[in-house]
Amino acid sequence: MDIVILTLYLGYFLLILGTIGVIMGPKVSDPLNRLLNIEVPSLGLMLIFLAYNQTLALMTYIAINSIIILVFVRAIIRNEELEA
Amino acid sequence: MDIVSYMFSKSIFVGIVVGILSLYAISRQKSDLHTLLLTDLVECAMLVIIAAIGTDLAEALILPGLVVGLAEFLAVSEILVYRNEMRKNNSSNNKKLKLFEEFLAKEEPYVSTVNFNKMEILYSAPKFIGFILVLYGAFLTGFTGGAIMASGLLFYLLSQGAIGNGVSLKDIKHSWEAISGFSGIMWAFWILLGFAGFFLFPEHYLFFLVIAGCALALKVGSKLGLIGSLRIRS
Repeated sequence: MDIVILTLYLGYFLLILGTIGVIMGPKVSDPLNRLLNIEVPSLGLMLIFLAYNQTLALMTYIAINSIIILVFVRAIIRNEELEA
Repeated sequence: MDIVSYMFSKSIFVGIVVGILSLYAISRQKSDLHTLLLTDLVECAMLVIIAAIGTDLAEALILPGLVVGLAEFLAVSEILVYRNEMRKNNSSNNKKLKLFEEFLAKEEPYVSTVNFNKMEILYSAPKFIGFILVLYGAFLTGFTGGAIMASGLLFYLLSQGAIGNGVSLKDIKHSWEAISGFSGIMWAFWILLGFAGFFLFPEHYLFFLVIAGCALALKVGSKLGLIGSLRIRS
């Protein structure tokens, strides 16, 4: 089997398993745990971009992903502060 | 049979499975914050389906999708926080929130004590590095060139702000208006002249391609360069 196909299948595997992990993984009632679980399907998505040879999309996704984490962490912290 | 058409149906299947699973989870969710987090998964599914086409056009469609998604998350999370705040304490605590307050330094511990006048590199290097970056960005053209150009401008303006010979607030107001107006004109060049030209006069495509690329570079460069002038001390 080609290494490109292997990368693509690894991406599919991480994407589906990560989605199930985000939806019904352990302790996902805490938003921070759910946010950390989201990293797994996004890594699968990056592998799929890599297999399809979409360099610009891959680099932009990595950059955008780090900013999205900041946005979510800010929303979670604000929410916790207000509920406490 | 090449790999893209061989894997097309499998990629679409995976994308649809992920989309259905996450949409089902959203429908069962009560909390707004969890819904927002699960929306990120739906975006992953959308990106897989677009990426399955595997051409340059798909890549070009992914880039604006990502940026729009980021802006969407920023806006929705801001609205969520604001609404929770309004609901929680109507009158007791009227503290004004700044964007990304959590990630900003509360005070500047080192900057005020360092003597910038003794650092020769702050005077000689930024001009050279900024010049090289702007030249290289102009050579690249397009979105990437604009981003590199803007990083050169940003670097220069930030270093000017650090050694304290920035422009006054009055000057900034005028240059701000001027730069944003310039950016708007370049946007019109990019969309109206460049893009419309492609469809109206396909035989002169090279001319319009150059117009669109250069206008996009100038637009992105000037727009991002505005961030740098925010930092200049009055």
